[in-house]
Amino acid sequence: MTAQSFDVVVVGGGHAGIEACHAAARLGMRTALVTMDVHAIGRLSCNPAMGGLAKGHVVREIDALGGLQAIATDANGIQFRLLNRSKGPAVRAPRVQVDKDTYPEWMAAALRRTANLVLIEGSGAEIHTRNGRIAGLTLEDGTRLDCRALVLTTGTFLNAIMHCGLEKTAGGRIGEKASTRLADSFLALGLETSRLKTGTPARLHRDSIDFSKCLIQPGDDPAPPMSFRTRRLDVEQVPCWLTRTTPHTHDVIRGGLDRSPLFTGRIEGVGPRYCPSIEDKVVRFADKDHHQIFLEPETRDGVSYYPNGISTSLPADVQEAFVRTIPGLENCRFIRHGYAVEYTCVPPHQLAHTLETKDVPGLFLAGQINGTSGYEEAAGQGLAAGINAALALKGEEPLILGRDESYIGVMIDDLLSKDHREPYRLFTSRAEFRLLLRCDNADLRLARHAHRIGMIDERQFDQTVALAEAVAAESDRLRTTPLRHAEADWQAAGEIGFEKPDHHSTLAQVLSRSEFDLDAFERVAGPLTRRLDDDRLHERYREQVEIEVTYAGYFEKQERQVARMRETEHVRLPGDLDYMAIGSLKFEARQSLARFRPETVGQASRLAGVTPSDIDVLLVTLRKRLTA
Amino acid sequence: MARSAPLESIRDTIAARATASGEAAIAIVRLSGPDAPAIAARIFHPDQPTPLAEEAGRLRLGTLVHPGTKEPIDQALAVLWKAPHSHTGEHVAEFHTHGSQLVVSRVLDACVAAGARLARPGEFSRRAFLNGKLDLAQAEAVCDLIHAQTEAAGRAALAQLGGGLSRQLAEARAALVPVVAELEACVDFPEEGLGFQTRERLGRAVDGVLAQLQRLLDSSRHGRFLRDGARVVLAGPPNAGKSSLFNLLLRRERALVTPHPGTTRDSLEAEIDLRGIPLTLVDTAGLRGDPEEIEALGIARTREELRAADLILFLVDATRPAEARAEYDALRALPHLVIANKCDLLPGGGEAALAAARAFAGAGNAGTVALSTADRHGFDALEQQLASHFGAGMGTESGALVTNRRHASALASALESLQTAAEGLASELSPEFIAVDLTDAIARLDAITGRQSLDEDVLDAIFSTFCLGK
Repeated sequence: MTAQSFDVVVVGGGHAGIEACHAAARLGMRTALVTMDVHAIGRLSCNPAMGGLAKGHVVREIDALGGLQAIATDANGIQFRLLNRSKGPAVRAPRVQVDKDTYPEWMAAALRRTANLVLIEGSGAEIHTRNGRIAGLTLEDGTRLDCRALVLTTGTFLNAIMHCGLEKTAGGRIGEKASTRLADSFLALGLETSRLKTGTPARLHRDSIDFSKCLIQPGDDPAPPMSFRTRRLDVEQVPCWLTRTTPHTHDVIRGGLDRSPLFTGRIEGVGPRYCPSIEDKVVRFADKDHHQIFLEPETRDGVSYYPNGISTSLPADVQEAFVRTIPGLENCRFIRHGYAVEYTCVPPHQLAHTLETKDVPGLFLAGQINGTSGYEEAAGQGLAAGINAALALKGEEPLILGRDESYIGVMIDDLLSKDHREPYRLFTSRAEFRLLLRCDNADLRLARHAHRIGMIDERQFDQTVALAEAVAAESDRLRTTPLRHAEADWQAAGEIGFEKPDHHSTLAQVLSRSEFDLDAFERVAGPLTRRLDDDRLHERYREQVEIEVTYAGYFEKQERQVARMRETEHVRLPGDLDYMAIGSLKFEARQSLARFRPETVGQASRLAGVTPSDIDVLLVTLRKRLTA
Repeated sequence: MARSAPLESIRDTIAARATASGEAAIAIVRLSGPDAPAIAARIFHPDQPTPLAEEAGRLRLGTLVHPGTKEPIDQALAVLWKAPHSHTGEHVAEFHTHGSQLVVSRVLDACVAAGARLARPGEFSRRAFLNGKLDLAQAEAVCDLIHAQTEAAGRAALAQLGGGLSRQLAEARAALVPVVAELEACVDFPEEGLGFQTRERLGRAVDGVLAQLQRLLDSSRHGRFLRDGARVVLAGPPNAGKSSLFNLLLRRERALVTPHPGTTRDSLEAEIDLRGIPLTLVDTAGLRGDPEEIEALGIARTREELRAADLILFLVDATRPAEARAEYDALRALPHLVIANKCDLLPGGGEAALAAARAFAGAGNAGTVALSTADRHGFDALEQQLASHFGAGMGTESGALVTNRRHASALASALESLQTAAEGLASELSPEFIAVDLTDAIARLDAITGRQSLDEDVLDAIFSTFCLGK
């Protein structure tokens, strides 16, 4: 069989693989996506929702960088909410329930429409290298694909084992097989691997649930869209429902622990603390007499419900028994049972910030294979890997997003700079510049990058730039105009409770006061000056001005911290530096540097065991090396 | 957030003593960095009006002043070199002061108050090297220097960190991490029904740590006395017995330096060791020579001495207290002890003198001692008062003293951030803003102990405290 030739081959049609192949193709690379089943492209293996805190931030960033996840979410969303409305703008985030049946169909169609992209059904079997560089991939059916860059986004499929009670099955997802041949070929490349574990709850039949015993949780009205590009959403929303476990539930669970693969030591992989199984919760929080459960519809019209909060790998009979003790679920029928998956992943310190492996040029890894969890985290990495594979082949500067620019940057830097004991997921608390990395400004933060590499078109770029300029100009006006120069409406001011105007206050100081929101401010001090043509853009302009002006003090403080971080962020460390030979580094620092092989002095400063004095030594050593 | 932003910049303006520590005639404090000229201008007031920055490279005479309290510190020589024509290649200012550790310490405090930070070991050399001021061949030497000095400073800091201090810092951290965890859980898991109805409880936790760290920082005052010594000035009307007390203290204690007539101060100085604390005794008696001088220069200089004192021993002739009234009223706001001398001449003896002293000092909370420099009555009590004022012996008893300057500086920054966090908790401020300051405070404490795992510790606290997750 003659080989087909591509620039980039992506293996795995999950959320990482989708963004990777779409981005590479969009940047002009002849690209192939290899997937076991085209109907499984973009499958939501666990809960039927996108976004939430930090994750919603990532989806917005993907949108800003020209990726698909946000628009796919809007197109297939059945319930839309904005979380943390009562808190500050940096920690508000959209969360959307999506239709699990239509989402993959939409994604497959979007990929089929993408120029330069070919979808190939099959399983990877053997990775080929030439002189240490990636050269191609042979599929299990013998098809040979030549390529210059290979992006592996195989999720949980490498040597996957599913556990349901004490039963073990090989496979990465229910009803799907594992990738064992690819795993063997991959291991032969010499990368270090480890084992992780994740799990998913049962799926329950709608018609067997008594919703009258549950609390309804409707979507927001109007529906807040995920994508900046969505002008408006006309969507009929479907509610979620809230119920809870009872003490009886916990008794049943405790009775089944002797057949739990987790508690009998059958599962060796480490599961995530933030996503504990219900048996874990019952054991660890023995004094809690209930745990809440969200019943989430998996589709708009279908019968499957996802009970969020009771992920489990207990045996099927125990699952059925304990679920039926939960109010509303007394008579429930199982569509399928919960299970746990153990899989092989690749400790990501072996990657560069481009997500290319340091030791196998041309090989990129993204998603769960890097030990992460979550559709959004996977997609963010997939996008970064696809973009960087393309940029590398085009000989262009890579796209390395800073910790001060994006959650994607925070995630990748975290992955590369630490040892991970559990699957990694994002929290807003991981971002030290959290106040600057908001959902509301993702496109403003990233448009320059997206435009430079060619992921967004001129029109979208111009629009974002125009928004940024309008916001900057108006914020400046408010900061520099004293209240006495504005034609203030003092009667309106009195009604708001703004009684003693200090005539030296600037308009910005007035807007920052707690008694004013933007509407009240405009009634007193007159409307904002600009009128943007597009309604949604105009709303965003008003929102950005209000945020920029109100929180200016906090933002300036964070900007100063960013400047400090940036000082060493661009100072590159050669990959072949022999840290163990630098005697002036503390021993701990030498070990840490040798293991993680940081790419920049900035990254080095974030490694465990590396102190500011070690950074001084590194800077001097580097200078000597560069000048000598 | 659970992760702190960088606390230091590699381009901060840094300050350190440039001459070896220990007593010497002259000490040099050096500043290097972009703000060196501005900081120098804030703390050094040249005698001649031309600003320091306009006469780069020239030694100038003037007065060093603390920028916050405006207290004069010392007469000094200062010189400024502009980048790149300096030893580090950055703007550099140097202050040549009297060699006492106490003066150096105050100059460094003034530099920090004016915006500098304390230099890390070897940091001047690192800057000099990176700015091309040192030969490439010296790279190894610079690295070795950084390494050796860091190790030495680390050992010294570790010794000071022993026992009480590290336990106290661990306690403070253990109280703060759960507060951050709760704020973060509330931010990152809005659907878990945690709500944020616990501001008051969290506020109390932060207030507790604030009080604890404030005590710790207060103890650093004693720590500073232990490390740098203190300046004790004798004051009071003529013939109250200042010189007698000066001589008494000198004879009784181990004199470190023989008395020498002050050359710049027209006063008499001597250094003694009081139960481990090096005290510089200053007898303003030296001013009494020439009546003209008292009128003119003398009074101004005495005032300067009094303001620079860590403690004033104000002597009153117990038989004629009224004579001291005017002089006392001028200095009663400064830290002082009232000593009623010549109690041997009072019919009621020591008790009557003490009562007289208390009546004299009035409502203030000044300490009072009855003394007779003639028969030494009350001298032990005075010594005891002095020792307890400067915290002699506290280092070993409570074991919680902060004697390291870097520790004290980090502690002060942590307190400032905690204060802001406490205000945020008391208001309606959204939790993510409060977390910024709390995280900063913990990171500063961690800089003292060398811990690095704040983000993981907070996540551990979140998941062990709250049952979260789908």
